[in-house]
Amino acid sequence: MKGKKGRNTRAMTVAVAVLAIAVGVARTCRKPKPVRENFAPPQRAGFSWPVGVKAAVSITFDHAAPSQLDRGLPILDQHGLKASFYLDIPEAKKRLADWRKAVGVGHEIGNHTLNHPCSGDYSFERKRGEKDALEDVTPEWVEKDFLAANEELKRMFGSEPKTFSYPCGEMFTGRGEETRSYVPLVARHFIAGRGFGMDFSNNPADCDLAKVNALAADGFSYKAFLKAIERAEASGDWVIFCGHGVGVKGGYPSISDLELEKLCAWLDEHRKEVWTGTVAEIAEYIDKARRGGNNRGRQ
Amino acid sequence: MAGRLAFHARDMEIRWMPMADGFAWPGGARAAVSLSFDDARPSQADTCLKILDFYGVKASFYLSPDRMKERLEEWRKAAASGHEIGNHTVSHPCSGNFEWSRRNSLEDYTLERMDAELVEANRLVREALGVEPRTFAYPCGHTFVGRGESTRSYVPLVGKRFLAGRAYMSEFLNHPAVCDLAQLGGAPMDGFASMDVITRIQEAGESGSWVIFAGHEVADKGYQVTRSATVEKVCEWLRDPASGIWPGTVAEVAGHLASFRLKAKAA
Repeated sequence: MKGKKGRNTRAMTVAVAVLAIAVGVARTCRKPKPVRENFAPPQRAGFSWPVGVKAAVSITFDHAAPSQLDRGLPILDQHGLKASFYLDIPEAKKRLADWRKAVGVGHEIGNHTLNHPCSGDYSFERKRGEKDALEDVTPEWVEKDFLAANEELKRMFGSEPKTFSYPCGEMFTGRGEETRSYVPLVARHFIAGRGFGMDFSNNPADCDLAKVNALAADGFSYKAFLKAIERAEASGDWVIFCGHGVGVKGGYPSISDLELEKLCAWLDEHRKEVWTGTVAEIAEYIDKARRGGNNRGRQ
Repeated sequence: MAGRLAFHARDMEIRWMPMADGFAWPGGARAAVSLSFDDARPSQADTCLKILDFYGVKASFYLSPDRMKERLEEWRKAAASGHEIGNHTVSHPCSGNFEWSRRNSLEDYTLERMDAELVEANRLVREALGVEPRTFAYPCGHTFVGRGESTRSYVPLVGKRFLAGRAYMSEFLNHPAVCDLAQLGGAPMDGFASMDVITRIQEAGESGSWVIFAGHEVADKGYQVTRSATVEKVCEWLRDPASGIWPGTVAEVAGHLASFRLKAKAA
């Protein structure tokens, strides 16, 4: 168990995190020129959102923490918003009936692999002590792992997941000159692959659906959410949020239930301009719109 | 960066990390830290270098060759006085999801074009400053070219041409036993208070890791700004031997790791 010192540090860093992220979101991009302000409204030739819609939002959660069911779902359901849940399978099995209920009302269940392989720099990879950090495996190893997860999820929910979320947001295997991207395999098996923790939202006209980004939203305030959504509205983007818990005290990374409630109330109220949908719904719409002919056929 | 730790690095129940056998940071340090700055923003030359030099801390600067020309004299002096000058490509290609990169997007790149650009950026820096970049910073922290089933990692090119490559927006600390020098984590520093940065360094101290910070402008406040007060306080803190932290450039720390690994392999 963590010591007292650890807990204090965590409480402090989490408190700082809330502030820091609120500030951080405003600076979503990292490049010499201030980002969109300098540009005319971006051209979205060949793509349009449904009539009246200016931007899209997906709310996603990874790892199947119980607070997602107990505190997150009631808020989402009260406002009639659908979210995507990338489940840790052993964790999800503990509450299978509840997860099935979530699927019943239209939430999405996505694939997050069986073994959650990440870089060996993460201490949980070292702790595990097995040679299955991303640096130690191949794209084919990861493919086998996520296909096994697909099988398992199919047994649990009756259908295979359509979208994938990259553990730790990492998309490679191997090291140095042997490094390989495993995005191609995700592209082959899923309609979308969701990354994590980079600082951009997704341009629906030509984003790569196999590696869309989700902002790391644990600790986000309502204001931080709104700032990210306003940016997406200005550019016509699809912004994806990823959290891990809802309203958990004591350091587990989570979105406060109060802030989530405010966000969902806002999204509920603005559903004509901002489309809130699961990753699968929005990716399918984008894919179809692009195939509609006027896209430049880049996918 | 505390906020950026998000989930995966927050598994703080697990502090334990086995060190590589026989590995030690120089001078008995608990951990290593590198400060790095991207794009050759003029405020780095005008403000940041003065602070660093006052405290005697060396940093790594990943220069965009075009912007480098805006402060050529200052960068020459910086290189001559021991700051590291690194490669940040010529045209700073990132995912086309960034509006400014849509006409120069990694989704449209090939490995060959990227490789040529790495070589060209080194040439431009060498001819302007007389030093050869030994390490690289991935623009936007993106490490791929292409899209969908044609996506390729360009880490192998960096692994081949450089001692080290630094990513960005990473939530993990670089662990000496396992980290891949070609794809090191880079922690964002813009907008953070000195306390956040020092807390993160202390965390590196607990696991014996190496944390690399990445900033952009250096000023009081604003868009993509690492606060000058943060740089000052962190430098002051690092300079105190009581911190037990080794402040080195990315090339220095990567060089220490690389030579340890070479020796370990030979033994």
